[in-house]
Amino acid sequence: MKSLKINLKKIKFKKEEVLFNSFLLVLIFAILGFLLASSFYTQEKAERRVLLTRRTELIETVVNLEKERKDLENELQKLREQLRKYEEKAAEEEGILASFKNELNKLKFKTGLTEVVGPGLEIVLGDNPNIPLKDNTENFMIHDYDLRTVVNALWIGGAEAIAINGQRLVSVSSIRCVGSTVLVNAVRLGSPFKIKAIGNPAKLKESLYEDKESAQLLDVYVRAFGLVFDLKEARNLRLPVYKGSLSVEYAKVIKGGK
Amino acid sequence: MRRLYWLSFMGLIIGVVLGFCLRVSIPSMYVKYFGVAILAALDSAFGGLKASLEKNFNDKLFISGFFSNTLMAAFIVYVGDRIGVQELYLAAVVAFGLRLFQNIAIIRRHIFKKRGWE
Repeated sequence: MKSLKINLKKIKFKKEEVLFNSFLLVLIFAILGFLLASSFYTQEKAERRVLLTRRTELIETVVNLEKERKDLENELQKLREQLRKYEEKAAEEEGILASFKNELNKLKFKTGLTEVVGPGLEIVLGDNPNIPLKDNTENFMIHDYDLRTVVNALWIGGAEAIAINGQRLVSVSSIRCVGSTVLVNAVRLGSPFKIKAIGNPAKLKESLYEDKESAQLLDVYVRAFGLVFDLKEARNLRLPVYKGSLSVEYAKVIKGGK
Repeated sequence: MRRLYWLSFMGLIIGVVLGFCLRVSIPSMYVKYFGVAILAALDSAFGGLKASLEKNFNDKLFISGFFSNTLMAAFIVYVGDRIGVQELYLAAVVAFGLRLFQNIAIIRRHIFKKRGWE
């Protein structure tokens, strides 16, 4: 109590000094308030980030749906088998249908609903096994468009049937990019990609190197970026059936048309 | 004297409003530094308020104290992280915490004196 009074007498401030000191006090309290508010804001934001766990749930959903699709594919396969049996039975019973069956078989072959065997090419394309971290990593990978280039070159070379990693390419097939994988027939495929094509091996090979983009990929990029590449002629390739759906909802056949 | 409380309160409000408007978010690796900085600011603010009440407020002492405390606290946290004694920042927390409570006690006493409740 006493010392306080002594202090009061000892120090006397001028008016502008008092003003400046008040300003400093306000400033320090403002800084304090700013720090507090920022840290509250950060905390709140961190809590909101928890929502990201939803991502994990979504991944789970994708996996489940993929499994479901596989089950459905198997069921479709079974039903097709059954249908084939019925058709056979019917054809046996009625000789008239034999010709139809013949036609049907041809169409089935063309739509990729039969397994096929024959000579052709076996191509393996894959990402560079040691992708350098610093450079543009995209260059060291095989992309959907690379596969499209090769497949198109093969079709031009007269390929009669093509499959990538066991996915038969048919009229409704697509090859597109999904994240770090390539989606073929709605199935996710990863590197290395094994492309099997049935046709005249020599012609297929010629076409691969005649097509500008394909030649560039196989001659230049493969070497420049250390991509995995292998090309083999095969005498006896076996391509699987198309397992996806071919259901038609909107398109209609014109009656009397060709 | 009452003006000092109002000024402090006003400064706090200005800071809080500014903080929420600017939406600064702290990277998680600096959260510890930030916590210690808040403590240093709290210590300085209440120290300043106390000094003003005692009328021995020294602007140079006040400003240099604020910055040296904050920097030293940050340095202690940094050193603790480097030498593997992560708890070293507790030293700063305890020191500032103690001072904070002391200052608040003194300010409380001032208020009591002023109102004659003692």
